[in-house]
Amino acid sequence: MNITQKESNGILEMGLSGRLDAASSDFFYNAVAANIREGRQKIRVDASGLEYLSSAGLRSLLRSHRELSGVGGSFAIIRASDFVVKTLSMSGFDSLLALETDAEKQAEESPAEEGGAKVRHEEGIRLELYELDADASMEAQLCGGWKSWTAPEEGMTARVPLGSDCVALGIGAPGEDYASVREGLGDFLAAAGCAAWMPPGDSGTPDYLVQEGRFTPEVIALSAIRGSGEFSHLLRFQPEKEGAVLSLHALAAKTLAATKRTSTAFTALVEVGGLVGVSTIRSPGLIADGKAAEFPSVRDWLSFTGERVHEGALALLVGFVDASGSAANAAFLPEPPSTKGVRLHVHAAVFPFHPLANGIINMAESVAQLFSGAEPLALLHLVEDDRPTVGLGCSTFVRGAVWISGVNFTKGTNS
Amino acid sequence: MLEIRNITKTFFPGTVNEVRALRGVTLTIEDGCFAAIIGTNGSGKSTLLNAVAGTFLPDEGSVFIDGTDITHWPEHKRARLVGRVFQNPFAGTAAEMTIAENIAIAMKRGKSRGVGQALSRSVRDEIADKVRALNMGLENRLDNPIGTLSGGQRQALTLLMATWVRPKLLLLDEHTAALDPKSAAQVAALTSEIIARDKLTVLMVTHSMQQAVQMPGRVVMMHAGNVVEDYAGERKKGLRIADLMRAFDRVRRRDLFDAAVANIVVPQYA
Repeated sequence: MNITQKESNGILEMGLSGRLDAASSDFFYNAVAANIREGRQKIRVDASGLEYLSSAGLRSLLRSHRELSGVGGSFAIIRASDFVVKTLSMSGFDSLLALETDAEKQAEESPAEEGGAKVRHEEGIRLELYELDADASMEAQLCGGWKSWTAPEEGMTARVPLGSDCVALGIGAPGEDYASVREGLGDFLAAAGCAAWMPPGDSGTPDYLVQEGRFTPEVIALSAIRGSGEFSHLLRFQPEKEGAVLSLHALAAKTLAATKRTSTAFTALVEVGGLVGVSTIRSPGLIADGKAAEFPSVRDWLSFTGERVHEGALALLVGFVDASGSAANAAFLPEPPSTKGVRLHVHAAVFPFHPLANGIINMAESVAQLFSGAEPLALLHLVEDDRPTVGLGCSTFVRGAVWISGVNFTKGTNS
Repeated sequence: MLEIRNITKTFFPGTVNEVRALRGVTLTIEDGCFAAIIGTNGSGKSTLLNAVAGTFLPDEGSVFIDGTDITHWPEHKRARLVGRVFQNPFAGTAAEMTIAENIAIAMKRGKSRGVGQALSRSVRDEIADKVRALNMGLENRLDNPIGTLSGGQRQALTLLMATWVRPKLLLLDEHTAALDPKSAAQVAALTSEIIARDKLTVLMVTHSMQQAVQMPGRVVMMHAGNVVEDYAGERKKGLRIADLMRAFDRVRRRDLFDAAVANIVVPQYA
């Protein structure tokens, strides 16, 4: 089995020659999956060189079709020889055969739509910036009165609803009252009514809640940022050169540039290049004195990734960026060692990879789809590691979608 | 049953090659308990087994079997109480002696061996019966030198010899690690069978997560000369390979989290 590929007008033609059977179907499907991952989502299979098609081969064609439909792409078989047509129609799958209708021809002839995006090429990365609603902005409440690494008290906590109208991150846990969550507080993030948090302890896997019917996820938080409002921009990026990635700090800078504001909120679905972060392994509710932040006891409270992790996975990011210099925001937005006055607080929930549709996609729908599929694998508070020589730097991303908005921070009330 | 109290062992102390192999290990294995020790290379798991077997004397701490302090017993004296199977299939048996002769020696473990005839007719029959139970066809080869057998066959015989006279404690030191996958599975199955039948108290070092999850009733994880996890009872019942992987990951991450990292990440954790 041989596969040749050529691309024109945003349509990828995969020429198959030889046998598509149990021995080659995985090879073919993996080639399709790699194309989808890389954003080539209109695929035609040239079957003129196909000598044999077994049920395993048929299944890989169907799977490709399903996967592409899932991301709003298209998949069709062209130039099928008689026996391929016969096999497909006898098994009832002749819908996979392209009927070269006028509509499709037209679609093929029109150049790849960019929907009014500003396209830029930087350091091997193609960036598309879409304006969703120029006037949109967010209000973000800084909730909870806890100062990191100090012994918390009940009066410092805030009750933070995580409905579909907000994006949020912080340290907290779902529960009735502070007493019930004190031992289980961990990092959380929420977007579009889907909340994930990392319970401390052995399990090492995040838990999650999804808004459904009258149920709205809610956490008791020591500290949280909750943003509500609409996104003004969508940034899509993907590599043009192999190995090109967008760093977290570059991404933060792009949110500021896109909105021309000094403070921004963003939510992103990104393929991970490598994440560098920490997560809580012991509830901060149990901190009794200032010693928790000291080495080596800090290792009982915090776990550091120690290397760049989750390459190739899909991460949901919720982040807030502040370059205003406001002292009031400082407690909620730490400053990485190398960003020169740009403070940021970003949490990442990691999921198994699945491809995203190209162009403008809806944040709420994409996040809901993510949570209805596989379960989260990890949840991290992203940090920068600037140790000389051995430092891991900051997290990097290969491709994805970033929804951005300017934001006004205000102090929230405690519960 | 087996009680290890605060054992430390440092190899090559005071030199550049100093290795603090055991850093105060305390572990109690109850009577009839089958416990596995897992850990990364250099975590001290084989050293701990050797400390129990008496290969060396610990720097500090003590070892008790059935309430008897055996800390200062030499290795050969401990062999009365302890059966052992090694990783190397060539260890534990005498290659040039026949299967029957090897077993005849094992049959008298802990007893005086004297100079009488070791292999009477009835002894040979007894040996043939037990060897037949291995289902390896070795009962017809009792007079062949044991060195002519495959690694898997030798490990199976070593296991049989180590448990012929019921040991107070059986030590298994990665005894399937040097075998091909099929032989390893065979020897593992035989191990489980013998342990269950004779209700032995066992300490097994293994590299195989699958063995650790499937075979024993308790799993002890070691790292850098310490016990870092102990899965027993209900916690062991729910144990999956993924849990062990995560535990290893946790331990490794903790190692990578040094003072320099703490200086950088603590201020960034708000």
